[in-house]
Amino acid sequence: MTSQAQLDHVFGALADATRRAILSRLVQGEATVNELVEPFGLKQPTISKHLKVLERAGLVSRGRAAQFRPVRLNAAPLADADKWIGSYRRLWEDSFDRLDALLGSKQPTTKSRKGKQNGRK
Amino acid sequence: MDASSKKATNSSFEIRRVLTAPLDRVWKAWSEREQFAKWWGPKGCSVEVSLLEFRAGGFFHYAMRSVNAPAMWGRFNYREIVPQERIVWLNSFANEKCGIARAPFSELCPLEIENSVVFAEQDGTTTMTLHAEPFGASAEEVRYFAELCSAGSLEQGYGGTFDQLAGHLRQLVGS
Repeated sequence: MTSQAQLDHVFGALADATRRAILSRLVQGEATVNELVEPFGLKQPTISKHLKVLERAGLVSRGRAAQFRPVRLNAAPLADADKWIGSYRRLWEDSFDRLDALLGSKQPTTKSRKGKQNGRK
Repeated sequence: MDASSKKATNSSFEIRRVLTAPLDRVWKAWSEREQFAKWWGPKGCSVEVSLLEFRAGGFFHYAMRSVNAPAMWGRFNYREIVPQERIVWLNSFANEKCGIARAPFSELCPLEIENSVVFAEQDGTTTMTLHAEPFGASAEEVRYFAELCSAGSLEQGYGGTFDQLAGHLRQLVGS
Protein backbone atom coordinates (compact mmCIF):
# COMPACT_ATOMS: atom_id res chain seq x y z
CA MET A 1 0.00 0.00 0.00
CA THR A 2 1.40 3.38 -0.91
CA SER A 3 1.49 6.07 1.70
CA GLN A 4 -0.97 8.07 -0.37
CA ALA A 5 -3.44 5.23 -0.18
CA GLN A 6 -2.81 4.99 3.51
CA LEU A 7 -3.65 8.63 4.07
CA ASP A 8 -6.88 8.05 2.15
CA HIS A 9 -7.63 5.15 4.47
CA VAL A 10 -6.90 7.31 7.49
CA PHE A 11 -9.32 10.00 6.34
CA GLY A 12 -11.90 7.38 5.50
CA ALA A 13 -11.50 5.61 8.82
CA LEU A 14 -11.88 8.81 10.80
CA ALA A 15 -14.99 9.85 8.92
CA ASP A 16 -17.14 7.71 11.19
CA ALA A 17 -18.19 8.78 14.68
CA THR A 18 -18.09 5.26 16.12
CA ARG A 19 -14.56 4.72 14.89
CA ARG A 20 -13.46 8.02 16.37
CA ALA A 21 -15.03 7.00 19.66
CA ILE A 22 -13.18 3.69 19.53
CA LEU A 23 -9.90 5.54 19.05
CA SER A 24 -10.71 7.80 21.95
CA ARG A 25 -11.34 4.77 24.10
CA LEU A 26 -8.03 3.24 23.05
CA VAL A 27 -6.20 6.36 24.12
CA GLN A 28 -6.81 5.12 27.65
CA GLY A 29 -5.18 1.81 26.89
CA GLU A 30 -5.62 -1.34 24.88
CA ALA A 31 -8.89 -3.21 24.98
CA THR A 32 -10.33 -6.49 23.81
CA VAL A 33 -13.17 -6.56 21.32
CA ASN A 34 -15.53 -7.54 24.11
CA GLU A 35 -14.47 -4.57 26.16
CA LEU A 36 -15.26 -2.37 23.19
CA VAL A 37 -18.66 -3.96 22.62
CA GLU A 38 -20.06 -2.95 26.01
CA PRO A 39 -19.75 0.83 26.07
CA PHE A 40 -20.89 1.26 22.49
CA GLY A 41 -23.99 -0.91 22.67
CA LEU A 42 -23.16 -2.41 19.30
CA LYS A 43 -22.98 -6.01 18.27
CA GLN A 44 -19.59 -7.64 18.15
CA PRO A 45 -19.55 -8.09 14.36
CA THR A 46 -20.22 -4.38 13.97
CA ILE A 47 -17.33 -3.50 16.23
CA SER A 48 -15.12 -5.96 14.38
CA LYS A 49 -16.04 -4.34 11.10
CA HIS A 50 -15.04 -0.94 12.41
CA LEU A 51 -11.81 -2.38 13.77
CA LYS A 52 -10.95 -3.79 10.39
CA VAL A 53 -11.30 -0.35 8.84
CA LEU A 54 -9.10 1.14 11.55
CA GLU A 55 -6.59 -1.63 11.14
CA ARG A 56 -6.40 -1.15 7.39
CA ALA A 57 -5.67 2.53 8.01
CA GLY A 58 -2.88 1.49 10.34
CA LEU A 59 -4.55 3.28 13.23
CA VAL A 60 -4.86 0.24 15.46
CA SER A 61 -3.03 -3.04 15.76
CA ARG A 62 -4.13 -6.32 17.28
CA GLY A 63 -2.18 -8.27 19.85
CA ARG A 64 -1.14 -11.87 19.37
CA ALA A 65 -2.78 -13.44 22.41
CA ALA A 66 -4.98 -15.66 20.31
CA GLN A 67 -8.20 -15.48 22.24
CA PHE A 68 -8.34 -11.91 23.34
CA ARG A 69 -6.23 -10.11 20.79
CA PRO A 70 -6.30 -6.75 22.50
CA VAL A 71 -6.63 -3.75 20.23
CA ARG A 72 -4.24 -0.90 20.64
CA LEU A 73 -3.90 2.55 19.21
CA ASN A 74 -1.23 3.30 16.65
CA ALA A 75 -0.94 7.05 16.52
CA ALA A 76 1.59 7.65 13.74
CA PRO A 77 -0.81 7.81 10.76
CA LEU A 78 -2.98 10.31 12.59
CA ALA A 79 -0.02 12.50 13.26
CA ASP A 80 0.88 12.39 9.57
CA ALA A 81 -2.57 13.58 8.56
CA ASP A 82 -2.45 16.31 11.15
CA LYS A 83 1.03 17.39 10.11
CA TRP A 84 0.10 17.71 6.48
CA ILE A 85 -2.88 19.92 7.20
CA GLY A 86 -0.81 22.07 9.53
CA SER A 87 1.93 22.62 7.00
CA TYR A 88 -0.49 23.49 4.21
CA ARG A 89 -2.16 26.02 6.46
CA ARG A 90 1.20 27.49 7.39
CA LEU A 91 2.16 27.86 3.73
CA TRP A 92 -0.86 30.04 3.13
CA GLU A 93 -0.66 32.01 6.35
CA ASP A 94 2.98 32.87 5.59
CA SER A 95 2.18 33.75 2.00
CA PHE A 96 -0.70 35.99 2.99
CA ASP A 97 1.57 37.74 5.49
CA ARG A 98 3.96 38.54 2.68
CA LEU A 99 1.14 39.63 0.39
CA ASP A 100 -0.11 41.93 3.12
CA ALA A 101 3.36 43.41 3.50
CA LEU A 102 3.77 43.72 -0.24
CA LEU A 103 0.51 45.58 -0.71
CA GLY A 104 0.89 47.64 2.40
CA SER A 105 4.43 48.84 1.84
CA LYS A 106 4.38 49.34 -1.87
CA GLN A 107 3.26 52.56 -3.47
CA PRO A 108 -0.12 52.17 -5.05
CA THR A 109 0.18 51.16 -8.65
CA THR A 110 -3.38 52.09 -9.45
CA LYS A 111 -4.07 55.29 -11.30
CA SER A 112 -6.59 56.70 -8.89
CA ARG A 113 -5.45 57.14 -5.33
CA LYS A 114 -8.81 57.82 -3.80
CA GLY A 115 -9.85 56.68 -0.36
CA LYS A 116 -6.70 57.01 1.72
CA GLN A 117 -8.56 56.15 4.89
CA ASN A 118 -6.28 53.18 5.47
CA GLY A 119 -3.14 55.26 5.63
CA ARG A 120 -2.59 54.37 9.27
CA LYS A 121 -1.22 50.89 9.29
CA MET B 1 -32.81 22.71 2.14
CA ASP B 2 -30.25 20.56 3.82
CA ALA B 3 -28.20 23.37 5.20
CA SER B 4 -26.92 21.32 8.09
CA SER B 5 -25.49 18.55 5.95
CA LYS B 6 -23.79 21.10 3.73
CA LYS B 7 -22.24 22.78 6.69
CA ALA B 8 -19.20 20.58 6.94
CA THR B 9 -18.41 21.02 3.27
CA ASN B 10 -18.79 24.76 3.50
CA SER B 11 -16.41 24.96 6.39
CA SER B 12 -13.66 22.96 4.76
CA PHE B 13 -10.03 23.97 5.11
CA GLU B 14 -10.50 27.67 5.09
CA ILE B 15 -8.27 30.65 5.53
CA ARG B 16 -9.66 34.13 5.38
CA ARG B 17 -7.59 37.25 5.20
CA VAL B 18 -8.62 40.89 5.01
CA LEU B 19 -6.14 43.16 3.28
CA THR B 20 -6.18 46.92 3.47
CA ALA B 21 -5.88 47.20 -0.27
CA PRO B 22 -8.40 47.58 -3.06
CA LEU B 23 -9.44 44.50 -4.98
CA ASP B 24 -7.82 45.79 -8.12
CA ARG B 25 -4.36 45.62 -6.56
CA VAL B 26 -4.97 42.32 -4.84
CA TRP B 27 -6.08 40.78 -8.11
CA LYS B 28 -2.87 41.95 -9.79
CA ALA B 29 -0.84 40.36 -7.04
CA TRP B 30 -2.45 37.04 -7.94
CA SER B 31 -2.52 37.38 -11.70
CA GLU B 32 0.76 39.04 -12.60
CA ARG B 33 3.78 36.82 -12.71
CA GLU B 34 6.22 39.25 -11.19
CA GLN B 35 4.02 40.08 -8.24
CA PHE B 36 2.79 36.59 -7.53
CA ALA B 37 6.31 35.24 -7.20
CA LYS B 38 7.10 37.89 -4.63
CA TRP B 39 4.66 36.71 -2.03
CA TRP B 40 3.53 33.16 -2.72
CA GLY B 41 5.45 30.19 -1.38
CA PRO B 42 6.64 28.33 1.67
CA LYS B 43 8.68 30.18 4.23
CA GLY B 44 12.42 29.88 3.80
CA CYS B 45 12.19 29.09 0.09
CA SER B 46 12.71 31.31 -2.89
CA VAL B 47 10.18 30.64 -5.60
CA GLU B 48 11.47 30.71 -9.14
CA VAL B 49 8.75 30.97 -11.73
CA SER B 50 9.26 28.83 -14.76
CA LEU B 51 5.84 29.34 -16.29
CA LEU B 52 2.78 31.38 -15.41
CA GLU B 53 -0.19 31.04 -17.69
CA PHE B 54 -2.93 32.80 -15.80
CA ARG B 55 -5.95 31.41 -17.61
CA ALA B 56 -8.28 28.46 -17.25
CA GLY B 57 -6.35 25.35 -18.24
CA GLY B 58 -3.02 27.15 -17.86
CA PHE B 59 -0.19 26.26 -15.50
CA PHE B 60 1.89 28.01 -12.91
CA HIS B 61 5.09 25.98 -12.78
CA TYR B 62 7.70 26.87 -10.19
CA ALA B 63 10.82 25.72 -8.41
CA MET B 64 11.17 26.15 -4.67
CA ARG B 65 14.78 26.63 -3.75
CA SER B 66 16.26 26.70 -0.31
CA VAL B 67 19.80 26.60 0.97
CA ASN B 68 21.47 23.19 1.06
CA ALA B 69 18.54 21.36 -0.43
CA PRO B 70 17.65 20.23 -3.92
CA ALA B 71 15.01 22.31 -5.69
CA MET B 72 11.44 21.14 -5.39
CA TRP B 73 9.09 21.72 -8.26
CA GLY B 74 5.41 22.42 -8.04
CA ARG B 75 2.54 23.48 -10.20
CA PHE B 76 -0.90 25.06 -10.20
CA ASN B 77 -3.32 23.91 -12.84
CA TYR B 78 -5.86 26.72 -13.15
CA ARG B 79 -9.37 25.45 -13.70
CA GLU B 80 -11.49 28.55 -13.41
CA ILE B 81 -10.68 32.23 -13.37
CA VAL B 82 -13.33 34.90 -12.95
CA PRO B 83 -11.55 38.28 -12.86
CA GLN B 84 -11.68 39.95 -9.47
CA GLU B 85 -14.05 37.28 -8.21
CA ARG B 86 -12.56 33.84 -7.91
CA ILE B 87 -9.73 31.49 -8.88
CA VAL B 88 -9.94 27.69 -8.76
CA TRP B 89 -6.89 25.53 -9.26
CA LEU B 90 -5.29 22.18 -8.51
CA ASN B 91 -1.99 22.37 -6.67
CA SER B 92 0.54 19.57 -6.71
CA PHE B 93 4.20 18.84 -6.69
CA ALA B 94 5.74 18.51 -10.13
CA ASN B 95 8.84 17.50 -12.01
CA GLU B 96 11.00 19.85 -14.03
CA LYS B 97 8.76 19.45 -17.03
CA CYS B 98 5.58 20.41 -15.22
CA GLY B 99 4.40 16.82 -14.96
CA ILE B 100 2.56 15.89 -11.80
CA ALA B 101 4.67 14.32 -9.04
CA ARG B 102 4.45 13.11 -5.48
CA ALA B 103 5.77 15.27 -2.70
CA PRO B 104 9.54 14.71 -2.56
CA PHE B 105 9.73 14.80 1.22
CA SER B 106 6.60 12.92 2.18
CA GLU B 107 4.52 10.44 0.28
CA LEU B 108 1.69 11.20 2.62
CA CYS B 109 0.75 14.46 0.96
CA PRO B 110 -2.36 14.18 -1.17
CA LEU B 111 -1.36 14.10 -4.83
CA GLU B 112 -3.52 17.05 -5.79
CA ILE B 113 -5.25 19.67 -3.72
CA GLU B 114 -8.14 21.62 -5.08
CA ASN B 115 -8.02 25.24 -4.03
CA SER B 116 -10.42 28.07 -4.55
CA VAL B 117 -10.04 31.65 -3.50
CA VAL B 118 -12.92 34.11 -3.53
CA PHE B 119 -12.42 37.86 -3.41
CA ALA B 120 -14.74 40.50 -2.01
CA GLU B 121 -14.11 44.21 -1.71
CA GLN B 122 -15.58 46.57 0.84
CA ASP B 123 -14.56 50.12 1.67
CA GLY B 124 -11.11 49.76 0.21
CA THR B 125 -10.38 46.46 1.93
CA THR B 126 -10.33 43.12 0.20
CA THR B 127 -11.32 39.85 1.79
CA MET B 128 -9.79 36.66 0.40
CA THR B 129 -11.33 33.36 1.39
CA LEU B 130 -9.33 30.28 0.48
CA HIS B 131 -10.71 26.75 0.54
CA ALA B 132 -8.65 23.65 0.02
CA GLU B 133 -9.27 19.93 0.00
CA PRO B 134 -7.66 16.81 -1.45
CA PHE B 135 -8.78 16.31 -5.02
CA GLY B 136 -10.26 13.01 -6.13
CA ALA B 137 -11.03 11.73 -2.64
CA SER B 138 -14.35 10.06 -1.89
CA ALA B 139 -17.24 12.12 -0.58
CA GLU B 140 -16.81 10.64 2.86
CA GLU B 141 -13.12 11.41 2.96
CA VAL B 142 -13.70 14.94 1.77
CA ARG B 143 -16.31 15.42 4.47
CA TYR B 144 -13.96 14.23 7.14
CA PHE B 145 -11.19 16.39 5.79
CA ALA B 146 -13.52 19.38 5.89
CA GLU B 147 -14.41 18.75 9.51
CA LEU B 148 -10.82 18.26 10.49
CA CYS B 149 -9.70 21.40 8.76
CA SER B 150 -12.44 23.61 10.08
CA ALA B 151 -11.19 22.78 13.54
CA GLY B 152 -7.73 23.98 12.55
CA SER B 153 -6.07 20.82 13.67
CA LEU B 154 -6.78 17.70 15.61
CA GLU B 155 -5.98 19.46 18.83
CA GLN B 156 -9.07 21.63 18.61
CA GLY B 157 -11.25 19.14 16.84
CA TYR B 158 -14.00 16.99 18.23
CA GLY B 159 -14.18 18.67 21.59
CA GLY B 160 -12.92 16.86 24.63
CA THR B 161 -12.47 13.42 23.19
CA PHE B 162 -10.13 14.53 20.50
CA ASP B 163 -8.27 16.92 22.77
CA GLN B 164 -7.46 13.90 24.79
CA LEU B 165 -6.45 11.89 21.75
CA ALA B 166 -4.29 14.68 20.43
CA GLY B 167 -2.53 15.05 23.75
CA HIS B 168 -1.78 11.40 23.69
CA LEU B 169 -0.49 11.61 20.14
CA ARG B 170 1.98 14.27 21.11
CA GLN B 171 3.36 12.03 23.78
CA LEU B 172 3.63 9.07 21.44
CA VAL B 173 5.10 10.69 18.39
CA GLY B 174 6.05 14.18 19.41
CA SER B 175 9.74 13.73 19.83
